[in-house]
Amino acid sequence: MTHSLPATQGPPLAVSGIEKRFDGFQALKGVSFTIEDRGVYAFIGPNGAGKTTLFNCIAGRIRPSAGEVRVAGRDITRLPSHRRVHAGLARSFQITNLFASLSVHENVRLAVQAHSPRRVVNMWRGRDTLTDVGARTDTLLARLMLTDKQAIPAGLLSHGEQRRLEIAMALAGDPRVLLLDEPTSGMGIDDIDIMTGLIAEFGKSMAVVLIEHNVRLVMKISRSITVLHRGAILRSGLPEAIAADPQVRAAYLGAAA
Amino acid sequence: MARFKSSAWGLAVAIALVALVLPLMLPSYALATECLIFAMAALGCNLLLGRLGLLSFGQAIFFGAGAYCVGILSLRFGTGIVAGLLAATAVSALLAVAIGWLATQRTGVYLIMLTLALSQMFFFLCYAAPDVTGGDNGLMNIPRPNLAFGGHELLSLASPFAFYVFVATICTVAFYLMARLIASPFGATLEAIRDNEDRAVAIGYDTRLYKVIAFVAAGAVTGLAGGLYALALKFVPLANVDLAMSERIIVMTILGGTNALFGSMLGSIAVVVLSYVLSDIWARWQIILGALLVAVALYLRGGLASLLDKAVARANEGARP
Repeated sequence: MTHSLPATQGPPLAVSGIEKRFDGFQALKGVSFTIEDRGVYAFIGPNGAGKTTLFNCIAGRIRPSAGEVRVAGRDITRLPSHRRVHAGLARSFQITNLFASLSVHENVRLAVQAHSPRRVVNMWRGRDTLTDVGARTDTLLARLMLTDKQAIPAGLLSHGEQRRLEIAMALAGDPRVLLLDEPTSGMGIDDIDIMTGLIAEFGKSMAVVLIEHNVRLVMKISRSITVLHRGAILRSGLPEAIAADPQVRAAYLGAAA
Repeated sequence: MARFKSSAWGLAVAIALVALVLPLMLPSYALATECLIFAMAALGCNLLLGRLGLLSFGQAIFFGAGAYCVGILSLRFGTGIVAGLLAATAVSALLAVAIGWLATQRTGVYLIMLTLALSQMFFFLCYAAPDVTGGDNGLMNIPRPNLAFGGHELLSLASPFAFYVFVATICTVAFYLMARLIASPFGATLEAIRDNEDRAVAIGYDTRLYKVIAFVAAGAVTGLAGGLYALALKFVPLANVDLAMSERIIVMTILGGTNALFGSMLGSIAVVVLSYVLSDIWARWQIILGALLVAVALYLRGGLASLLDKAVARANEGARP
């Protein structure tokens, strides 16, 4: 890809001391963790534990009250969302969020074009004439198994296909860190299996940060699981250790049972 | 690639054909000239409304600024026609940087209110500076220089016919360039922002920058139209920067339709010709224009251009065995 990242000077993602207060309610009470390598890193926790707030602080949708977020050593805490993407941080949305009236191909093409260095100044060429963009678009469509559907409007895809399109778009810039907010929510069993396989696959080439309710999926593919509880990290460790932890069971698994 | 180029050329040919036929249908070249000038003004509004979904009540700022620019340069400095029009385009584009930058601080209703407020401010600014703008009286007796290059006169624009040909040429080029712009990767990004701005940000677009650039393109073509209007009337009335002018441009744009750029030409012709015909018959003719707009808003969301689309589709169907 033409888009180049600054030289790696640190771990893919380092979060330190993130706090967030909403009108007197402390949603996050100093969350710190570092992701040193590629792999799938899951964040779980009961409703209201602060998962989505943490996700939004990292993604840039909301600004933390305190603390710092670094991607590959670069402080992005105060960077606007659109520039975080170019720093190597990509995200998908919990609620499907696409260009519904545009074709599947155009959705991905736009995401790829965002990483083309000539994206703004190019006012004179046809939109399909950037050949590097076209090639990358085709690769992503194939990777997310959407090649057959590329001509139809994104709004007409099935739910599972829309979630895959989301991820194809997030991958456009070859991110170092991919944030996935409940990628299987509302999916049927077949689609969940496909998505699980894809997420495991992505974990081989980048750090995937996953917020997920589906504990079975998380146990299967995560390199590490972090449990959030009342705005703080309760435990972090290997899937088996987390599953066996009595405190976690009490706070989360027990509550769900 | 081929399709993209041909669509821009197709539009240019269609505009040229309209420009060819228009004088045959209308009683004067002056009226036909006005149609083409306002088509260009509506073209800028079409870019903002059709491609980005931004409703700007500030288009009169650009139109008026272009007109004042040509008027002042021609009247006080004897500037040539090409330099005057280029200056009008550039000044309006610069103003559009400021207006666009301010207005796009907000979205939706607040953006509309900002353009409205800025438009009112600009009106009173022009009203309060009679030394520059002529205030309430406007700028009168503006000379229309001949087309010259490097001191050589190429073409006299004194006759209504010659000036019409001049305007028609510029209008055709403006539509062609705008078609190229919206077919480009830049244009694709504008559509993405219109469809889902949140998502456009999330995939890495600085959406405000794109909006400001769109404002600049819209401001430039509208300012050029304003400059031509000054030369057409040989007069720059204060009404050029009036809120009613912004409304007029918006009405043309919506009446014509924003799905296609060609709609701006149809909308301009409809409003200019209707106001010419009806104002002779009935002093309250704007009521009819209002009713027409209501009808379009209720029953013809794609504007007059969609009516044309349907007619073409029906003709094609009829042609098939």
